[in-house]
Amino acid sequence: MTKFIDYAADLLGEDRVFVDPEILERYSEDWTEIPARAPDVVMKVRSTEEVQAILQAANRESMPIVPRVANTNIGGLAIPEMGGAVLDLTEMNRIVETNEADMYAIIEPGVTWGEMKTHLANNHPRLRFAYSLSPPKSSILANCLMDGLTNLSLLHGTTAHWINGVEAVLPNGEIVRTGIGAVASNWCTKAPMPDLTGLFVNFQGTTGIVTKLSVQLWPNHPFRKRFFVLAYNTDEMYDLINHLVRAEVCDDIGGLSWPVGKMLFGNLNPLFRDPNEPEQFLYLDISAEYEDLFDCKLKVVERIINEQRRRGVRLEPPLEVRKLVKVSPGFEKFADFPVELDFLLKLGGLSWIGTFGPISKWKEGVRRGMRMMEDRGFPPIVVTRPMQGGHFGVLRFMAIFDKADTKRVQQVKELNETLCDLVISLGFFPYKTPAWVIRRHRDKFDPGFLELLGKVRSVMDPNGIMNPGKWPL
Amino acid sequence: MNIRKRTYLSRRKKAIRQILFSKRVLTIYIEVLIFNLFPKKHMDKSMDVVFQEPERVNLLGYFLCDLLKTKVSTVEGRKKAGKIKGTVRFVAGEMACTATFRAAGIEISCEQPLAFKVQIRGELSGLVDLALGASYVLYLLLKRIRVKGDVFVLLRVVSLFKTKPGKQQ
Repeated sequence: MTKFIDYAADLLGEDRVFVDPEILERYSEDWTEIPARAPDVVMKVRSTEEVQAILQAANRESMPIVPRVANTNIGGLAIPEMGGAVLDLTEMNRIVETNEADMYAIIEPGVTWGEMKTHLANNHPRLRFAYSLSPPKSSILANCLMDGLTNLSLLHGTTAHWINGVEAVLPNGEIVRTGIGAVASNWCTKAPMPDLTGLFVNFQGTTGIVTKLSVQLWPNHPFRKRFFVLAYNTDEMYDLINHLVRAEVCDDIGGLSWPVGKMLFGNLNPLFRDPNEPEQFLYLDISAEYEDLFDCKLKVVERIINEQRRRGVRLEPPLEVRKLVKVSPGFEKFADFPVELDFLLKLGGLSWIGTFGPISKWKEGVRRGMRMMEDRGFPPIVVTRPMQGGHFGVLRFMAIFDKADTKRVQQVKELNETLCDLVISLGFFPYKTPAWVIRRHRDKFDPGFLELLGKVRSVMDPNGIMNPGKWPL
Repeated sequence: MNIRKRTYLSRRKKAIRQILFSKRVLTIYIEVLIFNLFPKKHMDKSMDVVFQEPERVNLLGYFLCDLLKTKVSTVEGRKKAGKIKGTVRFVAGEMACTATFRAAGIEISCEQPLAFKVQIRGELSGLVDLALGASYVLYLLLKRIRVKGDVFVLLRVVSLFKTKPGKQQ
């Protein structure tokens, strides 16, 4: 250990290698209920060459390496549960290239949503990246490698679908490029290469460290609006979502359960629901390059909603979020992404069972999951979003809690286990999968899948130094 | 002009005169005059907007609270709110709540009120538009809102809602 730390200090300089317990403590946990564990050392790297040198040394010493950027994954994925070294990638934060003509950017791990938004607004206003509900300081690269979701995911799928390729350092220090960038200078597509990018997607840093990522950008349409539709009945809202999805006019559709509305107004623990108030909010993003196309999309949405209302579906007409903000500034949080949903973190703890699965099972999942949360005294916060043209959807139950309250932390753990059992029984599976989920549901996996995964991992990382404990096999 | 028409016009004039010079309207004139010439001291201070039962507030209640807080953050808004006395009921879609205006401040409740001075009912989008300055008359004609109760209180509420947001004072 000492030898490794000395080597790192020589390589990076002592100001980028930390063994002070106070600093290590900061790298020991995230917002979730997952137990903390401090690393033995933290290192801040700034280049691919530094990552390469560190991984070669770690491989020689069998030193666990945990890559980390903003640590906002809500899955304990950057908690060094076997100690070792945390490789802090926040200072690798260059936007290496932005290709406006081919609509892609090459970024390093430390590039955040906020930085990308500013960069594009200042230098390439005709382009946009999509944004997630995560804070502006979160890493885009980490989000892409973990199948993150954004406000263009209804149109284009998870952010992993937008990856054109990666540059990654393998545990033995070799550097690999995937996608068309392996052969051509213009890194604009993953096709038609064998998909080696997949070796780094959802592997949670267990196969290597991605140091560059080529990711697709999208046209920044000048006409854009976001609406809220209040639905008095959960099942009816999901019927409406189905109609909207199939009309293919929205960039993004998201369902939020009633407690979220109250939290926007400062109620941090909303447990009371007036029987006459809406069970769900739906937000709709609509954009277009041309005004007449935009008007047309608005008319289609209006028509679908009016048709539903005529059939007796209890919906409020769409409310434009910009208007709402003028009356009630609390809605500013939902006016634009990326967004700091600080109300979710005011109690110190945030955890979720966030899953992908069949939208045909939303109604049952939401109804049963919300009841489970209410029975345990948690505000039933549920987020649902159709993805990639409605081929699958997000179903996410969120728990906010006081991290200092050990009893509550235990309740969160039990709640998450129960919710996870429920959603898996309905055909969903957690994204950014926490290790405990895999351990708890190992028997449900196809044995061939696990065996192949094990083989891949052992070929890529024979000494098992990369983020040990994650995706446990 | 035939006698019938003359009688009709005279009756109409009489009715208008009766309304304009009724005790109730005269009281309002005087109130307005006094409020404008000698604004009450508490108008210069902040005005509280509070929930009667903070744990049992619906979304409309929160929304209304935010709206009223914005309106009474200005001296003009406080003046106008100070002129309203009694309970105003708001119904948006299936949600309902009340705002009770008192000298000390405004209290919001989501319980069914025993009585109210005026009720404003509509879709939430209609109420949002009104809060942003849309024409009440037009919305009434379009049936986007419906009202019942004391028209004078209604006019005062309308006037409060029309207060433009300014710097907080």
